[in-house]
Amino acid sequence: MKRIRRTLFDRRHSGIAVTMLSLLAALLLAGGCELIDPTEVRNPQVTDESLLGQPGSLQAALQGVRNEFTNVVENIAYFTDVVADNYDNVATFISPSADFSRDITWSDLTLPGVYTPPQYLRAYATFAINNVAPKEPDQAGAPARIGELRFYRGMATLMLGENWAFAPLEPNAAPSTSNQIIDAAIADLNAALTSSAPQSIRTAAQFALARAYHARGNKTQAVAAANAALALSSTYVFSAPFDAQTNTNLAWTFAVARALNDIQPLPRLDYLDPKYTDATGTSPIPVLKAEEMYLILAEAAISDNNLAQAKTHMKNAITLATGTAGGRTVVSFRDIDPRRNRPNSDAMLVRADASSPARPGLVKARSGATVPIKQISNTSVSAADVDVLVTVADHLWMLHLLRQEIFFLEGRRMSDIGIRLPVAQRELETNPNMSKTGPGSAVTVPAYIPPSDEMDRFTITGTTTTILHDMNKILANNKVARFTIP
Amino acid sequence: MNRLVTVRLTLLVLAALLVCAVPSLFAQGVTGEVRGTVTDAEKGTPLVGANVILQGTNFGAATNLDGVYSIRNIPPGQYTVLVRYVGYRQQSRQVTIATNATATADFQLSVSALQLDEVIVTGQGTAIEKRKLPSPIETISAREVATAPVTTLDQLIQGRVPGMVSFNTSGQPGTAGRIRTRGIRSAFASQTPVIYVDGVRVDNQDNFRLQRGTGGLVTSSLADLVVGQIERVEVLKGGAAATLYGSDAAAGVIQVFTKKGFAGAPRWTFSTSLGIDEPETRWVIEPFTKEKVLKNGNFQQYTANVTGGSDVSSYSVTARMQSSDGVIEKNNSRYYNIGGGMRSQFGEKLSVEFSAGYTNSLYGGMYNNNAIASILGSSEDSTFQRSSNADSLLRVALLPDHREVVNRFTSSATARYNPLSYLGTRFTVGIDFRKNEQRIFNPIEAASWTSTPGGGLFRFDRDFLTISLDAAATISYPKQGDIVSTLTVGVQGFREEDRQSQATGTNFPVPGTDDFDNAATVSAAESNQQLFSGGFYINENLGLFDRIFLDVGLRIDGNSAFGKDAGLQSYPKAGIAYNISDEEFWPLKEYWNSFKLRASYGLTGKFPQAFTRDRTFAAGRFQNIGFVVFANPGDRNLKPEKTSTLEFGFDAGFLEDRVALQVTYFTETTKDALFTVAEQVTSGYASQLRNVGEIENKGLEISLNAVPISTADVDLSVRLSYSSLENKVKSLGGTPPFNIGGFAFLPLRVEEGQPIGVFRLNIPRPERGTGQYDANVVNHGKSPTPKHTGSISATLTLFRDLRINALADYSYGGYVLNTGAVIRFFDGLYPEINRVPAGYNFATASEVWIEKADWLKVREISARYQLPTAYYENWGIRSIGLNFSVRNVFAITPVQRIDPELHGLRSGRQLEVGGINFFTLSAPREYRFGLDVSL
Repeated sequence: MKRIRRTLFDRRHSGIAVTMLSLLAALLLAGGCELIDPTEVRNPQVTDESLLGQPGSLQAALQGVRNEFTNVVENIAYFTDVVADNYDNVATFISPSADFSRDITWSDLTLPGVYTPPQYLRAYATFAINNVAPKEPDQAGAPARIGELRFYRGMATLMLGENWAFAPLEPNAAPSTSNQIIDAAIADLNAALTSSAPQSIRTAAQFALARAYHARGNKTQAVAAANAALALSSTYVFSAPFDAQTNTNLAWTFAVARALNDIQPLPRLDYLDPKYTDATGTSPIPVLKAEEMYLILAEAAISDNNLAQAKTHMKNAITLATGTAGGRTVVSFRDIDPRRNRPNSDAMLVRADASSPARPGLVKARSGATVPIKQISNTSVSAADVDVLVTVADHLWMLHLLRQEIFFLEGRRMSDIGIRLPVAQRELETNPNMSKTGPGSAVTVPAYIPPSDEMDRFTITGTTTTILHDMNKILANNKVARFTIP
Repeated sequence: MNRLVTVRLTLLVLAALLVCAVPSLFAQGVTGEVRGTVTDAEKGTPLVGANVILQGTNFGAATNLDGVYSIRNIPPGQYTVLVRYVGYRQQSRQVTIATNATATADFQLSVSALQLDEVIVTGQGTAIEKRKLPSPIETISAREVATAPVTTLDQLIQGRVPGMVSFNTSGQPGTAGRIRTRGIRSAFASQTPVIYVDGVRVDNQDNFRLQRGTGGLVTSSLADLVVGQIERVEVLKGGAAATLYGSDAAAGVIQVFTKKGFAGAPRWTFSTSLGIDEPETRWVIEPFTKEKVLKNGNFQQYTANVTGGSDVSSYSVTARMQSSDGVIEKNNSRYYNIGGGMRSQFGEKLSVEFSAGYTNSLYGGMYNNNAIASILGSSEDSTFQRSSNADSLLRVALLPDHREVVNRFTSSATARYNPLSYLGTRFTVGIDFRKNEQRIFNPIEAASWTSTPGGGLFRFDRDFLTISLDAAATISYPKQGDIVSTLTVGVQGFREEDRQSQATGTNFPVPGTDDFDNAATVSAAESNQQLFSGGFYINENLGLFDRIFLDVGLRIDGNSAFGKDAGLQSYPKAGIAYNISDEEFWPLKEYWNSFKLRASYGLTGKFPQAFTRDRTFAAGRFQNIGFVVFANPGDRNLKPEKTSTLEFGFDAGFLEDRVALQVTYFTETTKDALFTVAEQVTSGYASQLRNVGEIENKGLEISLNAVPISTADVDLSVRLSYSSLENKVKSLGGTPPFNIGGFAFLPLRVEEGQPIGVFRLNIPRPERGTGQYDANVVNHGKSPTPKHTGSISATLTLFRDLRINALADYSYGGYVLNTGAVIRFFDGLYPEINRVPAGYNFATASEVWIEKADWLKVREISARYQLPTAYYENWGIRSIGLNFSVRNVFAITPVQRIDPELHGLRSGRQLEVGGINFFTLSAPREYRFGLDVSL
């Protein structure tokens, strides 16, 4: 007998079929739901939960502060040197107002990149000290890290106070004056000096204190700090390091690497350019040097009218800067910069201004030639040049020349000549206690600074280049210094 | 239980795990059928793929390749047969179906410019006729798609969608047009419309987070949406129509439908297209560029398609390969694409559609704009020409190798089940997977040129996956009569996974190696994002007396990017359409036969970027030790920005629908607009996305379609469209204005009372003294967004065999920044050196770099000739066609030194306002000769 084949959906089986399907559906919903839940998303970035209280969090925060420190140094180094007479912005997208210092406004296009890093470093360091450190599991190692954090915060605050006349130190705060800012820096540096931070940091803090007291105009403390620093190391260098994978030296980028290749040095400083020569852009930028201690002592001596002492200190600085101690080696650099319309020959003589003597050896031929460069310090001044100085003004002139050459492309010159930057637009617009017309909104340019971009101008006649103004002479004639000059 | 039952139960369990596509029983009882042909009334040619339905039932069919349809298994009775075909007026006829008998109903349709009978599936949750809709919806018909000489979707849109523009960014392979409609509604969100292919959401992003910079120009995922299998496109321009797409659709929705074939014996079509790309040198400045850098490129494309089917199923498969040499060496591209679709009917109640497409694209790129190694830039700014050996330096500059390879797979499956005559359900699921790998190799030999001493290898990978799910149920009851109602309820969701990684290898010891293994220094980075968005919607379309239609809907949305305290968002919509010409009192029926008034209100939104609500830290490595610093401050209240749109307009048809006029006035306001609000510098944070702003867009859209001549031998159709736009930031919500692009010396800003992306200018005022200028001026309304856009197109068909088509689009009222001129000024080149007046520098006189970007570009001229069948029908060939086309024909514009349409510098991740030309390469003039043979 032929079997009558029934289909699955025959009426007799339909009840069972429906029951089985419903059962399967129920099982799926009950257990399998997780597998098909599409709403679950996970933020792969670091959030509060994954940072605070985790082992290694304070170390990571400290490393962030170290990284930001390099940012602070490199931005201030190249920009302030362009503002001052060290460099001329020939053809980059750096604000053209940088050379026309009185034209720098709060809306300046490069200013945010310079103003933001020191404030960010302060914020990160404060967060690390107040929020991360208390929850860090490794409490034994915390004080040393906190000490180091205070050092970096102190350094960033010091650089803020050196280059800005007014700036807020906290969100929503009214702007502090540069003296108040430097005082805050000194407090942090003192705390770092007496902390359990590694010796290298405490030594740096000692040198930084001398720089800070000098910036503050406190002669007694500055001298004491400078002597204490030299006692720790008379060939000291502390630099902001670079890491090819994270950041490259911005000063090097503008002076060497860019295709438009153009910030160009003042002709009498040509032999120092570009200072940072490492092809991977990782030449460190010096921040604290023993030469500075000698120059602070020299300035104090000039202030005390002790010119013989001043000569000794200046000659010590020269010996160190021109020597090779403490890593101050000479490197050979092949410079392909075409130096269009600029002095470009070894035979070129340079006058600092129309009434100064023409000096050889300040300009090097480029366009493919190899030049010797010292990446830490160098100077064209010799001990003999120091010995012929007579008046206070002469010594002050020499002091400023030495400071200019030894601290070339380190972000010191603009502060030395008295220019102070405005606070950047974003801060003025968001801080309720600041405005576009209040303190900190305008650039400070002393009256003795020449108008327009005259600080960078020069003329070439044959084999002599004559620079329009000798800024060091102007500074000396106006008795510009941190300590009172007789 | 006996073994037979066990076996059956096992089979049941297995079957239950499959998608429910169950063969239905054979028909029981006796039925009849109806068949006939559908032809063009003037010419008598068959219309392929016309929709024939029995009104009030679920019975329907499409005409096959001979224009013949047949509908079977119809229970006896009286029915109205209704026929619809795009471009023609619909017709209906009464038919009596008797048992075991075949009724005949033939139709001759006449041409119509007004498309009110067209059926739209976008924006309503279910298919509905245009005449019932209160919002304008644009379509690109199958015929337009088939004859367009374009490769990608963004090119297809140029000039074909009134109210939507697609401006070229550059002529380089892998870049895609900027698709925009109705202005910029957001200061942060991408304004590219969301794109669905067969109901599946696909990737439409560009400028990926970790992509390697080549000077500012970026490739786009729109560049691999190739046209091959596209059948037709529906476009929503935002507003009420897009509401059902929820937290997403503020910038509009583009729905692409792929071919599923027609009934008939398998029909093979083979096409070849060969051509030459000629560089557009009108705006090229230096002779060196024209002679040495730019060159003609060869183009070839081969396509094969097979389509066919039976009464219950049909299919279409297309394979295409294409190669283009490009107009600069190494600027080549290649596409391989295969796609297929099928549609199957299982009985009366169940139909299934399936489609899948795979594209493999290769783009050769180069350094652009102001990248140190930019080729076009270095030629236009005379770097090559000023060197001692220009030819040799150019050869070195061409050494770096840029390759980008994209593999993209998109697939969609849809099942429609109509258990009852008034109840239909639909379920769609699909994925879009796009994987791209970008690889840039700077060989050691080019180290001095690229500033990567020791050579460098840069690689970027992105895996992008979207899974979409969509289920809807429609109750159409009553279907006929004085009151007709269609209620749709649906659920929609998608999930995105975006995984990107990047690696750099530098310092290769010797030339000839280009693997990371051989690099001395290798570093890498990774960035991953996930997003989920889902919602529920309900939509009711109520028809009164077949004249007035009320449309009301609501969407409720949730999204993983919303802040923890934000919750679910709801988007309502409401609209009314009144077909006033159907009233008895309508007086001018002879001349003005159709008039539909419409008004609608709708709310759409844009969700914030993934993870912007969270406080995050950025991690990195410095000196081989990991570090953290601040990244995003976070905002727990972050919610989507909402754009409300009010639209008024009408659709009118004149002279028996030979002339169609469509006018829409819209006003859109975005509230809680997401702005990047600056944080105080002392806080350590840069900015946070917050809901603070208000943005307004207003405009008028006019579209005129006419068929002035339609005789047996000659057809002429013309389309003109015009859109005006006024865009303004109404409020900054008390926060300071901010930049969204441009350069520090000339940024694009978001400022109160100005369009988004207004240029911030310094205007020289020498009359007040040397060097005097008005600083930071923004109240002039000059921005890259044009105030007037539109298109013109015409199609002429002669003797049914020869078809000629021309298409142009235009734009005016926008401005462009000529950055190339700034570089030439720096280099002391004429005449740019004279642009800056004495006493000023490039920044204090920045106004001189802005130019008016007014242009009209003839995009396409094409001709197609169908060889008379008499010559070859004995050889078994159905048709042979020859075609010739030119793309990017010529431009009418007063702008001299740059192509005013282009935008070569992408800034930011999402919103792109455009407006910056930086030695950007124009799209080449493409000449194409093609032949297609159909068997």
